[in-house]
Amino acid sequence: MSQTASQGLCLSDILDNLDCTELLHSLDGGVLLLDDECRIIFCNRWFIRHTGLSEARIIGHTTDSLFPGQLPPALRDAIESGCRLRMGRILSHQLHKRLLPLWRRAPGGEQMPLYQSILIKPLSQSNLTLVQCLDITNAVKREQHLRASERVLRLERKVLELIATGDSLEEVLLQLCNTVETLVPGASCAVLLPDESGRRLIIKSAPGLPAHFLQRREGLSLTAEGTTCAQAYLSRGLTICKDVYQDSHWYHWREHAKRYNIAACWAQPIIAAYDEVVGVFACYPAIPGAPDDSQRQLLQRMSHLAAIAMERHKRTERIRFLAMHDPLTGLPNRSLLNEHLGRNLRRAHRETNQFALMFIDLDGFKQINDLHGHDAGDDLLSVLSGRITEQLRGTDTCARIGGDEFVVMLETVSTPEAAEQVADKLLMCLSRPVIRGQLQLQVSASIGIALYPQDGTSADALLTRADDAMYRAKALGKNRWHRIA
Amino acid sequence: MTTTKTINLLLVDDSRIARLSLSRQLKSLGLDLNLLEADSADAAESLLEHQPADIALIDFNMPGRDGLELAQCLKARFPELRMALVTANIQDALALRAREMGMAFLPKPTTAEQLAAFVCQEA
Amino acid sequence: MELFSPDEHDLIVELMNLGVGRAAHALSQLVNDEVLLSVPRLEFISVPEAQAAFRKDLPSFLAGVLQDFEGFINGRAALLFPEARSLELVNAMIGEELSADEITELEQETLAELGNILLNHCLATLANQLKQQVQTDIPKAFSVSAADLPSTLSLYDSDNENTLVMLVQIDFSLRHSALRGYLAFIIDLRSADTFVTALRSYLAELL
Repeated sequence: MSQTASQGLCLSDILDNLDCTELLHSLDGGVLLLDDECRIIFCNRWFIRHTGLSEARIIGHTTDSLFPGQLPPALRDAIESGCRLRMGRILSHQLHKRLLPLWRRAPGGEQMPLYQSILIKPLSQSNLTLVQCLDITNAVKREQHLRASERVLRLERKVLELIATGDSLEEVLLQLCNTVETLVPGASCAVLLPDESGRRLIIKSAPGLPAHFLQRREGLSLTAEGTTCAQAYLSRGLTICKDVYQDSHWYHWREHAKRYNIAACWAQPIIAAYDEVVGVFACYPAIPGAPDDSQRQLLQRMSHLAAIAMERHKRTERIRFLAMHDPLTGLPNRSLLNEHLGRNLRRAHRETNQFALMFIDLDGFKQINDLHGHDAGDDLLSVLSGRITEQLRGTDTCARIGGDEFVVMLETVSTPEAAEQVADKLLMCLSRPVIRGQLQLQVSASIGIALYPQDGTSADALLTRADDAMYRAKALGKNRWHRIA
Repeated sequence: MTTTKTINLLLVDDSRIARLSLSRQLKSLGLDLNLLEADSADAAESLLEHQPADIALIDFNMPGRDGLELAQCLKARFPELRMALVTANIQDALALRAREMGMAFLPKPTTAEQLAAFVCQEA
Repeated sequence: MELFSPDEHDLIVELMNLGVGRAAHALSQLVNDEVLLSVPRLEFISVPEAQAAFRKDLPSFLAGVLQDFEGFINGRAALLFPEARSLELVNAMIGEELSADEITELEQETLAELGNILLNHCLATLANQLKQQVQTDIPKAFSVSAADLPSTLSLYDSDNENTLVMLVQIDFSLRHSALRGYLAFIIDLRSADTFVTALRSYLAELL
């Protein structure tokens, strides 16, 4: 009994007095009542509104005769079996893209087809069948949006995982390109980074474009007259070329564009911390046009992820560098020296040739520190380490292994004399004074030489030998090299 | 002058009722038939070791090897055997697979006419 | 339960196979691809046995479709499968690679339609072959835990003495997806006389 019992009315009274017809007409959804011959004996106002037909036109007809040839077989069968065989049916939108020809008005006023699902329910107390038509356009749009967002999020998650697990930068950039290629069908993507000179952009990753394309493009010059990518880099904003065949900047690349199915270019700069531009993320769609809002957002998100990946990569590289190099001089430290030494031993053994190891100790360095302070000492070390590396070849190694101790490895020497000559040169450059403001700082060096394979065939043996030789040099008066005979 | 030869017909179906149904329809055709029955692919193969068959009506859905798998084996061993796939799964894709194997395709429930058409097709 | 003789049981399985085959045909036309359905197993059990079977054999979370029927036999039918795989089934039906973990309301409707097509064909074929009538209500999709399944099927409301459960295993093979589900028919035995008589006369003609 409802609360209105106190007012003398009960629910069943209310329902009895309710005009059911009016109720059906006020429903937001189509309602039809069919007889056992599938003829429509009632249709509500919603149905009239959304078919554009008058009530007089509708009543008495079957849906098939109202819309001849327009109804899919599944719907016709379902109505038949509902009315005649009393079988209830649901026809879902996803399985039947088309059902009844119903129309809705879009906000702009245009007529648009209506996404619908249909329920066919034979009524148990009569021979009538209820056909209910639900407008699910909003639900469909919501779902499409939801699924689209999910797809993007999934792909982004994949990229973030790659970044988090510290995978190679190449992997991440590749995945970013693949992601956009998946979401912009027909497009190819590329990541462009500045080369060492900082004046040209080179393609770092382009999975959708053939390998020789990467090689052939020597790089885009970063000038104001450059291509879309160059402009994006310089302007720090998304730069769009809607049609490469209409754009004069693409003149030289038209052949390429034709061959690789490139019709447009969307270039998004990759911006890292402190507003620094570190590259360009480029999307090359196969049909001309500009990106829509969701595509713009996608490009932004991808370039942001690229920035994160590159930042991380830089940091990882920096950590690796610091772990292997002396912070003051930038020279390899003991760990890296050992790596190089090990590798060189194997190589020399394979190729049966000689190489040299030199222990260098600076004479009088401690006094410089005591007299002029550690800053002076540091500066001196920096300058002197530079002088050493100048004397060496690219394949040689110079490492700082202690306060004023260095180890030089000459990758290969033709004769012992060749090593001695290098040692002479080192002595000379190390004893030349270093000007520091008003001061003239001067030290000399004691160098111990050990040769492979004559003085040892293992890392330990060679290092010990060179170390001992260095002490001998010191004992013999410093400012000289010595090799233990 | 034609001599009516007894047609040896093998029914393969795991359902006794289905076999009963088929044999009833076949018997109503008034042909000279020797009906053999097997309730699985394995049973069918061992039956054919000892008894010859001219025609086989094979159910698709059986536990173990399905009708098409059996047909494959039988085709290799008895190239002269005419086979039809009898099934409730009336699908174009399945019908195509059957026809590619040189089998007829008879949807369930079978009608006497369809059976007659297939059985009497013999040259 | 010994309600049916082996031949009667066999006949019911054959009729189910026919119905399921028809449903497969209808589905394959809708999804435009091969759909294979088969009935590897069918058994008649009591309500307590059904409850035990649900607890034991079914996964802890189920998705399903419920549909009432009346005519030569009265009751409620449910199509059941492991919830996690219901999305896979919908995916296979609508032919899209949905990257979600959950089924949305529109997809639930599609699942309901799958159940609807299957149940309608099974019941209609049973009725047709036995020269009987049956009517079905509209389907409803649901997802519950195995513990809540009996109440969803209104098993607690039923009079156990007079309720029979027909549990049918169904194997689905759609596109590249293959999975096993269950059809549970909760039958009101008091309405079963017509069914049993029709079954027996069909058999009598055969044998």
